Amino acid sequence: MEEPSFISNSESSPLAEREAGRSILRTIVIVLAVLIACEVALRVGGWPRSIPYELGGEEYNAVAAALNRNDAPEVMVVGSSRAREAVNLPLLKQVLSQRAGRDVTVGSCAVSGAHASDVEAIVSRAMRTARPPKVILYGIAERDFNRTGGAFDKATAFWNLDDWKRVMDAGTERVLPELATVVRTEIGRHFRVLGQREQIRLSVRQALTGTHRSAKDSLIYGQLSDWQRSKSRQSLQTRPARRDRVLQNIRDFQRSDYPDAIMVASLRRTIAQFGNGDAKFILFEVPPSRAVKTELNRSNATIYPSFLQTTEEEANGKPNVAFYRVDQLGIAPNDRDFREMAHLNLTGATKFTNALANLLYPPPATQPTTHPSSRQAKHKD
Amino acid sequence: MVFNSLHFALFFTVVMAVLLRLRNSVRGRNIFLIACGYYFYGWWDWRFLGLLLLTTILDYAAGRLVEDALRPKMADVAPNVRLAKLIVGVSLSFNLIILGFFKYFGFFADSFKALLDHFHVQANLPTLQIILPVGISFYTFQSMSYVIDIYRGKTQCERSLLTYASFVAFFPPLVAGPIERGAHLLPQLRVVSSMNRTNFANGCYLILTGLFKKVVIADNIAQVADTAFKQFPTEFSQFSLAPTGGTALIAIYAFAIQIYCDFSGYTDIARGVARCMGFELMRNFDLPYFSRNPSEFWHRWHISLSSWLRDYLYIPLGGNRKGPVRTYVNLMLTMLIGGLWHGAAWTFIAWGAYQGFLLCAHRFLNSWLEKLSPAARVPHLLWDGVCVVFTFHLVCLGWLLFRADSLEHCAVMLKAIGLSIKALPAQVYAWKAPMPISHLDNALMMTFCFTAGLMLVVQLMQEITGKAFIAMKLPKPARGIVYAAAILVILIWGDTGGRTFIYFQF
Repeated sequence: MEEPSFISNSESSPLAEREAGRSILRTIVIVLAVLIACEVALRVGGWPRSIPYELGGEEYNAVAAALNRNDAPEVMVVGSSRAREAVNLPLLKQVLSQRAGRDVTVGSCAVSGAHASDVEAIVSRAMRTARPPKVILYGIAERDFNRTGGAFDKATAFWNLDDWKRVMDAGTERVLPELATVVRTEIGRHFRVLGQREQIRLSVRQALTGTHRSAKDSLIYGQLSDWQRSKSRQSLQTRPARRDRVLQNIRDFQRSDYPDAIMVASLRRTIAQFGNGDAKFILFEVPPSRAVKTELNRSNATIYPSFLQTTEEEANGKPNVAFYRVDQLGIAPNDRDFREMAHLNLTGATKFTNALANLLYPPPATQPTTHPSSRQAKHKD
Repeated sequence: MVFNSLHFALFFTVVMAVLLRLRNSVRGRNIFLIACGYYFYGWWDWRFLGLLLLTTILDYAAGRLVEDALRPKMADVAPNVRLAKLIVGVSLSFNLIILGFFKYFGFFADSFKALLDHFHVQANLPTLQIILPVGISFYTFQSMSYVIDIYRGKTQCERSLLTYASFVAFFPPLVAGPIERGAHLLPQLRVVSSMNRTNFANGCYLILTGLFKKVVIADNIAQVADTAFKQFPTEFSQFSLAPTGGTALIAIYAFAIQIYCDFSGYTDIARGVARCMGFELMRNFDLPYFSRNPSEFWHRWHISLSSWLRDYLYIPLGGNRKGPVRTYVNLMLTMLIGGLWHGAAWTFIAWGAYQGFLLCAHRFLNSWLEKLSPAARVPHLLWDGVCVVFTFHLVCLGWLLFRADSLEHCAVMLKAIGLSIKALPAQVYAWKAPMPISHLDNALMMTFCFTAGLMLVVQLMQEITGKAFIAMKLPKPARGIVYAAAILVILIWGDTGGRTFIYFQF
């Protein structure tokens, strides 16, 4: 295969050099023109009009895009999928709106596989939006403090240079390589082709496979989660968890380095962001299933509970920060309330949300509330 | 430091700016190139800089001693071939001991322990957790070939330590090749570099091509390959029929594309960077998946290594000069060592043996095929197409050995493919819908189709036109639009995570 030959100094002529220079300049101008045209088209056309959504890794991109559009809700849930599945958002919205006497926006930025470091990044980003949330509910689960892979792999999508510097200065983790993503995100705030690359990519894929799904129809904007809609009736009572699976699930919490120091530091930094402003940061323990709890207590009798105890004391000692345990909510979820060993189902989420809402904003006369959306989902099944 | 990182972009910008200033000073430029090479290499682990320095000094000294022994300055002193041979031997031994210790000690210790365990012999063998210095095989082979070439009279001995150090530490090919020869790169380092606009334009084209191959194709299809390979248990005892043979085939095809685009992408960037700096590096790939037989494949794949193995191993072993049996033995030995060069694992040895077997089989059958002359009976293009597809699948089978976690893992995947093929006629006969092609989700299948399709189209165009820089042959405005499109695709679909290159581990 033929390729342009290497031109040594003796072979190059001033004429050829001039022509090559012109050619480079012309190419650069055309490339810049095309890139600017794409940018203008994106801005004028307002494309993508809606944020595309998909469960899994794309959740992070959808959350980042929603926060970039200053779409942070007044009441925002954060955490992992454990927190995501523990809250019935339409119900929470209904209860809070009733009690506030106005429409309260509720949404969830809890994403699959999030750790405390991701939560820190999401909360920091949300608090920087033009209309930051008034209440942030963080559903803590034991898995949030177990590190798998790089601590800030996904978090960087939410970072600005200050966030990166803060973690860099903490010196707990080598985050120099993450600078590239942060710089990309910063440039992306002004250059939409780069800033919305994840949305463009997912939109194209969804268009090609005919599976378009907007984030407006997701829990980011206060809808039920995908699992709450599709598997609302599945429970541990009908499909019990296998012990080997449970043991596999909790094996990382038995390691001597649990809870991970970087994750604990992240949680501390997240808590430290609150106190001065009006925003409230409420941590709540996401209930583990009976199967998980049994094994967790057997294998890890002191680490996680004592960690929760410390966090609780620390959180409750700060203004605008509070911590609630499951037993304080006055509910005891059973196997019927869990879709599988780690996640609550819609029934469990409804019970849990009612209890959480009642604890946070006690009703004038306490009455259990059931939201029509949960009934609707049950009928769908 | 990886080429696909922000850090490298900044580093390269600074390097270019300084080199422009130093373009007329060979000494200054070479000192700067050494500093750049050490910084580039030390970015991974500064502790191994000593190793690079040691290799440089020892082979520089060996080169000078060999030259002095063979071509003494004083007319009355006779050449001392025995001494030269001894020095070459010492230099090679030293290089191989370093390479062997860092790369193979753990493997051989573990394998020996496994063997003793097999015979129920308890032994407390020393086990060391040795970190593999990145690119050690590349710069060691480059340095070794320099001493051998001086002995053979194929290259001039380098009198300046600075120039030689800049040859070893020249950063573009330092960690993943191409494995340069002294005769090719050293003369360029002795003179003022050819930093001109034409080379800069061609260099930028190569960088863009390489970056596209790496971040758009290789890194995206890597997700498909990794997910698909993970679907299969690594132990036969855990094998169930769940993942279909289709998934196994996609895993293999995906890896074939990944490794090609990853490695050739690195080479393109390295060559592009070198060209912008006014240096020419040798070609390493020439559309290898369009090879019509295994022998041609090795003339088009990792050319710098295959030619190294040919020149410094196969030919010294006797090549094809000592009869057919010795030729086959030499081929097998060369490829076995080639396999082991890639890494210390049984899968690499098996891959080397498999490639050796393919070369032997091709050599054996070639004369028979020539007599049969099928090309004369069927249209030439069709016969070539059949040969290309067949060779590609033979190569893919090799990639399965290369990528699998173990030989057992490889066998599990082969069995899945076999069972699917076996079940297919029955399903077709019963008018049943065949098993799903794979267990990969929509996103991964889309990625696979997009990247594989893109690569196929571009490579077909290159093969048909016979031109590597197809975009450069377009009218100027169209060329700009192609570049812009490539940059857009890199910006949107490129993996910006700075994934390392596969060949760094070798």
